[in-house]
Amino acid sequence: MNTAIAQRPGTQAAPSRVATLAPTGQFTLAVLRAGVRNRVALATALFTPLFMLAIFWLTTQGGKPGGFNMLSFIFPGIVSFTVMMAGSTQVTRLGSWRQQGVFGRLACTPVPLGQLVLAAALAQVLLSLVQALIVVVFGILVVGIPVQPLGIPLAAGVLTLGATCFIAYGSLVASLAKRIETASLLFIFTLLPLSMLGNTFLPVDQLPPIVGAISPWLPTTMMADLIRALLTTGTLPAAPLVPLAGLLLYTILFSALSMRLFRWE
Amino acid sequence: MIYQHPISRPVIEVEHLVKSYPGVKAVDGISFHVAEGEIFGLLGPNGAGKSTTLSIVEGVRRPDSGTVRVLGLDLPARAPAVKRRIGVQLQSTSLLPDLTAVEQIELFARLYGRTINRATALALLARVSLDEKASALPATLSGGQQQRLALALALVNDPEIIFLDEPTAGLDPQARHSLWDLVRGLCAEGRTVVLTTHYMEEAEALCHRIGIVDGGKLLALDTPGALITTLQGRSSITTAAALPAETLAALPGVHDVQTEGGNVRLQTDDVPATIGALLEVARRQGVSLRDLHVQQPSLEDVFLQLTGRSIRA
Repeated sequence: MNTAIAQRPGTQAAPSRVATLAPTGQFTLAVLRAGVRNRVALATALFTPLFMLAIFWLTTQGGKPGGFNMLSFIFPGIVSFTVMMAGSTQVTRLGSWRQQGVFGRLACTPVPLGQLVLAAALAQVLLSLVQALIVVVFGILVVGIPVQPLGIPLAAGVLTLGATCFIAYGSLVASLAKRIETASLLFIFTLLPLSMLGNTFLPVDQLPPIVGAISPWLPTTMMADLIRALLTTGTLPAAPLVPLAGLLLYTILFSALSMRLFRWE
Repeated sequence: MIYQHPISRPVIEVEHLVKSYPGVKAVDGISFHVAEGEIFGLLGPNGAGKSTTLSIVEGVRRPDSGTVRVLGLDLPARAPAVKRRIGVQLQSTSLLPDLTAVEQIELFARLYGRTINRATALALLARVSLDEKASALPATLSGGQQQRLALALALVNDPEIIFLDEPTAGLDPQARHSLWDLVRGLCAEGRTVVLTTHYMEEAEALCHRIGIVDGGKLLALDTPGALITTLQGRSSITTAAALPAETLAALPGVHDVQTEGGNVRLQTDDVPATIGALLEVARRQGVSLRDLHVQQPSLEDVFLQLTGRSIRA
């Protein structure tokens, strides 16, 4: 190499180990920083579940003592919904990065593009976990919902798996629709019925029997049932392997399909 | 000048490159070499295959067939190693929307496995005259500023070769000339620059050699001067003069006469002889020659001759 193009002062080649591992961590931090800086998106993602919780709190007060406690049922659903919405952010991110050519630029770096997409997804998982924690704290301290503290660490694990699953689902939706607007609508259009049929906002045993046959196989049901048991009893529900394995399988399926179908340009 | 083609070693070797997309052959058998320290341009209209060619040479896309070696490394097999040693500015500025200019510099440096301190990041921004915009988000930057930031990102890894895809598209003349100066500065440091453009004047002003691309094929490849020299018979003389067309056609060197209104345009392969004879005829017939202009052939004419159409068509 010509001596005239020697390294500028202040830059240095990093060790190869750093070159292969650290960049993805740096990218996660950068996406986290960008996510926190995007206050409108952050506030929307946080205030939507808080607003839902507040509405249910206000409208369910005065229920019969000893009767079905709608708020206690719906609170774990709202916590689950908070991390499900991480998929919506993923849809927007993938779509806007594709439209703005960010993927093209990232593809020019030595770091494999797939690693950077995973790093960005990790940032989104962390952000959605913090948002879910805020909703839980709000529910306990402001609304007065009883929560079993022993269940919170395991619930965090389930929420991590659930966030990963719905981020993978968001990636799949972004792979299927070329325009951001279409992809966002498609995500919401599918997530809302999945939530309504998935024991998230409505008790499935109060819905028609056909829903009861479908509901256990939905990822929304799997996550909501796990979170509900952990937050209300502090323990996993009976036969927890089925929903846990189901969420994992959905994550693998959505990830595999999106990796096959996604085009970064 | 550092450019020493053809003595300098080739840093890019492209042979018989082919790349197709459904329904279109984007690159159709292109071959060229780029010498170290050279500013090499691919000139052609939108959709000619320039950007696809560049993206293959950058290791981003895989060719259907053909061979590419960059800095002695085969692509796509050695793409990661090549990417560490090259800098890329894309046609779209492709900036992460919620990171400031200095944060983008720091992040991209780390993606290239380099540590970069804040002072160096700011110095790099200063080099592209963006130091005062270090804390600005991309959305608050003008088009020219975004292009300069994209160029700074292409430099974070001290690249030996810099690829610029339509670097001045959409910029005003002042911003365009400013970017040309930056490119010349990079070349003066010994870096090789490969750029695509559809601006004739940009190719002529910046590039040591130009490859003219259209329809996925490389139609011509040489220095701007040599390309234009091939059209020496296409100089033209225009004037407003009331002279018969047959008299003008008989002037030495003239091989075509066009008249429009009171203006005549003579195509000639011998400008001095034609001018001398024209002045003599006008003097003898008592006709004054107004608005006399001589126009040398340009790259636009070269492109027109090669493709049969204007680059803007």
